[in-house]
Amino acid sequence: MRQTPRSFRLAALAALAVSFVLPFTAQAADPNLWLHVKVHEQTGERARITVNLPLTLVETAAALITDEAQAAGRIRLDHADLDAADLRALIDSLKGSPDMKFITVESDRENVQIAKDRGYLIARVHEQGERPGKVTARIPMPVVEALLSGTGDQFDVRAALVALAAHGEGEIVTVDEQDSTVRVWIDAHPETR
Amino acid sequence: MRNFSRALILVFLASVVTFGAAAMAVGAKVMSDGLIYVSIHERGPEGVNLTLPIPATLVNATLDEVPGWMDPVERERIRLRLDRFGPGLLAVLEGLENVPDAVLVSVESDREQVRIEKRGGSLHIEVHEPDSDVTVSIPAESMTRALRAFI
Repeated sequence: MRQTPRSFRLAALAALAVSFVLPFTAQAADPNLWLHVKVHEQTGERARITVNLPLTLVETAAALITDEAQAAGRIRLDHADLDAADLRALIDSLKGSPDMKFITVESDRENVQIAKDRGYLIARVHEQGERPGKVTARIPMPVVEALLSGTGDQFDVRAALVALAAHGEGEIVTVDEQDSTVRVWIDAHPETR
Repeated sequence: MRNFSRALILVFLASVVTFGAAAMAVGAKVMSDGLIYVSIHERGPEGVNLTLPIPATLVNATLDEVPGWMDPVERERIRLRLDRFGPGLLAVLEGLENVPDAVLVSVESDREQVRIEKRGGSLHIEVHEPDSDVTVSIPAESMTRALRAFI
């Protein structure tokens, strides 16, 4: 059963997307809600990866995430590494603030915009150049806060899962690149729509 | 002599009923526990062609005894390795038992198709590649019991 490196990469991408979305499940998750991940590759082996998991199962699996893994997360934003502590300070400063764009980075290579909008933290990345693409992440603020409720450099993925389950259905991440698309969402349908 | 023949017939009928009921009970148990099914088909002159259906009832009964048959040192080594993740993994497997029928993971490319599906109480895995087809189906309860036997 050989697995091509390309397929591995896409599978890893899907797994990464799932782990990213773990923060969006909630305590005593609605047993009818499902987490869906869909990755389509338009070039190479044209892989189509679909993952459909009940939120309750994702939430249970979150207990297997080690403290080391929770502490390993860092977010890279245009050459500047942000750890959990930096993000926590940033989100704390946004509490109570009106909806606004609070980070905008424009360069020849990409445009990055992070905003708070109607209870969501929205990140938009537009890549330009040879491989243009568009990434949109739309994460409920309670989930972001729960994710950052750990101490030190730790992300609290379990707490984020609890908050995500409480939030319910909705689109979470979409990636549209020239040669691939990724979509992550939650709904009440076992099969992908 | 006549009474003896009657008694013999009665004993025979009672035996038929008893064994029949027992066979039906075993059959019902085998049906409800499902089958562990492994199928490997490799293309080519020396390719493996294997189809192995095993009643899960048989495997479940054996699984309960496996730790007792094992070398205590080896059993303890497995138990220690499962100490950290075993309970969490067990919770995931128990959760899987309650998941409704659905395609959980599907990977399709020009070269291969992989499908992991919950179907009728079993986890059904199919891998199709240009040179082989592999199908494995395991009742979710058997996976849970296999893990529970060691933690």
